[in-house]
Amino acid sequence: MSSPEIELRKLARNLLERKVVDLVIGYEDSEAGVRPCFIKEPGEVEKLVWNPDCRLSLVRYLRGFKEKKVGIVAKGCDGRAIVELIKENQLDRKNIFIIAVECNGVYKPVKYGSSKTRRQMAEYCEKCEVRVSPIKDYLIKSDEKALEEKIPKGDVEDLDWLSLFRKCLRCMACVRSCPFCYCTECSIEGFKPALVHRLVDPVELFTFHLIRAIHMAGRCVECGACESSCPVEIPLTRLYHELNEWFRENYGYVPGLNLEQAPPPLVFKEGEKP
Amino acid sequence: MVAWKPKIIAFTCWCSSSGVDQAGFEGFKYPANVLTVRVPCSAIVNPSIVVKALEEGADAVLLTACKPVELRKIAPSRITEARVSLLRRLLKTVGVEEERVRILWISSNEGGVFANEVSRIVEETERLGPLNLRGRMLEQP
Ligand code: SF4
Ligand code: SF4
Ligand code: SF4
Repeated sequence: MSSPEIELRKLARNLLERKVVDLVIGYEDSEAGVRPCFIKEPGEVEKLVWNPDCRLSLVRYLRGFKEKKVGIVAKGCDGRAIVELIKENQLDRKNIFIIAVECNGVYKPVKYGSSKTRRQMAEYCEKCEVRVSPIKDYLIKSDEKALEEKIPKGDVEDLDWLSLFRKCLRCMACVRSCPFCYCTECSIEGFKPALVHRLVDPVELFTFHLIRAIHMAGRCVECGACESSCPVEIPLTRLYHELNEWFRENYGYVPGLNLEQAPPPLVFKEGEKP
Repeated sequence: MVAWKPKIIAFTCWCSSSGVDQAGFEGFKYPANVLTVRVPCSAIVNPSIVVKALEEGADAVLLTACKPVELRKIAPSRITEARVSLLRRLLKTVGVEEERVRILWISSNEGGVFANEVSRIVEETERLGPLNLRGRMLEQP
């Protein structure tokens, strides 16, 4: 067991015993791999794990516990998602206890049934510059070096996006796993007349992916939850990264870095020249 | 075979719609393959609708709006401008020519400008050729 894991369990026990938090959201091991767990009793803290398979974002669950004080295990990107959601008035800072864990990158998921033993670091982790959550109540330092195994990078425009979109199954796993897709009525699914139908027309996959990319622009924290949940491995984060670059170039805005900077282009000063 | 003509959808804001009408009464000629959809303000045009228009067979989408300097304190056209710029970046990334989405600044008295610019856009779109998203999405690898 690694020392961050020991520290994490000790902290969780302490927080629950002193009733600082009502529950801790973390990761636990299961036969099918690492999965989220919700710890309510100090006796259960031994379940908590921390390793490079803890890739899915837990931030998504925070909105389900609005009236409770919740402790959450957060990597750098998860912390950024919390910042961005606080700015969007979806979360209340005082109800969250952020257990920041220093992250060295996570592994790419292994496909079901694959016999690969060598694990690779996820591609979005290589671009990551924020390894520790920007807001935190407690920091757990890592004791390991960054993951080594790199993936050769290609240019984003070299990908044939239209044929990648064609593979999409419209399973909505990307929408369901993203911390920012909290709309009660998703414009891709629920509108009448619908812009995108669930089963009808393949050309609508183009609309589906472009609309989702537009909704993520300037908000996506590149946590990769969408991409890791995608059963057909569409590198969605690379597409959203391009749009975040547009925000960086035009407004100097990077989502989730601090609580003060308001998201552009919602703000401009009175009398400001266009 | 009938020669291919591009289909262009123009979302025209209230003010620039009067410019478009003016092009009509003053007898300026512009190509008939531009279909105008009048909207209260250019900033009401959600980028999703622009994408949907391309999906449904438009070869280019045009938004006409008031020049940001003509508006007073807040400038909705600036939001439109930002959205169009973002959308063009997205289209370019996924491999669709960015010239297929454009913005034109048209005031209510600029019928002539509208007619000229639109003719130019039609010509340029003709040069780009059909977008044919349906064909490209259905194509088997
Ligand atoms: S779009 Fe994907 S990478 Fe971006 S925040 Fe949502 S889940 Fe994370
Ligand atoms: S895809 Fe867009 S509309 Fe749908 S849940 Fe996500 S942000 Fe909301
Ligand atoms: S998770 Fe993948 S297959 Fe499922 S809807 Fe999203 S992009 Fe399509």
